[in-house]
Amino acid sequence: MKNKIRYYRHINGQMTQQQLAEKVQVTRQTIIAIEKGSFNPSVKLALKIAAVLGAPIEDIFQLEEDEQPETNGGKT
Amino acid sequence: MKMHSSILKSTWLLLTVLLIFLGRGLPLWLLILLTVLVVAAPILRELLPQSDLDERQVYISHLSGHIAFYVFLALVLLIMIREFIQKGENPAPEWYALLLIPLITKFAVSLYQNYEPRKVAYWIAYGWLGVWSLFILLSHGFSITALIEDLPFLITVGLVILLRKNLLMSGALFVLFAIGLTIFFRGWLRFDLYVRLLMYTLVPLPLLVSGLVLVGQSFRRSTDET
Repeated sequence: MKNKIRYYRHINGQMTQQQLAEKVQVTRQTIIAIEKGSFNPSVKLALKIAAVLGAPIEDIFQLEEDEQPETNGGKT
Repeated sequence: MKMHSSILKSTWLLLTVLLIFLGRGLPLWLLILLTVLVVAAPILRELLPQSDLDERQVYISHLSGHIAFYVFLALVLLIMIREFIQKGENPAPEWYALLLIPLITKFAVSLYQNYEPRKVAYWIAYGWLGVWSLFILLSHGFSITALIEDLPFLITVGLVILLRKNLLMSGALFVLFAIGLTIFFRGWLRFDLYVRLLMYTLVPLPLLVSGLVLVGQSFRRSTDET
């Protein structure tokens, strides 16, 4: 899974990893791991990060090409 | 608060280092006290409602515990094989207890975490009763003796099938059966402590746990319905 946390931190007044970590109540190492893509956050943590960065969750976190699920083209 | 937490973490690290490097030279009472402290601290840290661990740290803690579990099993197996090669006889019962009890615990916890507890309790109980019946059948063949010995198990299975919708009654039946087995096999008390530990883990405990889970589920269901 790829993410744009670094980008959104920078457009949010150069927010540091430590500041983001404190706001979502995790360690800085966890933010580093999420940014690097070596740890996938839970939905709860992803929602918290999205709320702090003021952006839609699907814009911050995106699946890689090979991770995309098969869809039925939006048909119900 | 942060400083307080750092002091606690440093103390724990110091205790762990002491245990690893000086373990063999320490008096037994101190070794036990240190081991309890070193093992209990991270467990408490995870279980306390105000845990300071975030989800990645919990994941790392579980992963390291998982790896340590397999390292432990490999070590026990290695010791058992070495004992067998050196002495030419089966290793002492404590090694079987060390190998099998953690495996059974892991298997049971995984089952209960993966599936609906009510279903797992029934699977374990039916499986256990089935294995026991098969054991009797293999010992005595299709005979009157086998039927008589198997009767309590067949009656229990029959009653549980009849009471399947009543979790409390089914659970109570399994608990009673487990207690009955413990009394019936009181002769095991003569055995070595580790043999007893292994036998009680393999025979009445799965039924007792299944029964208690079903009783617990019945109370949970009645709370959910109110």
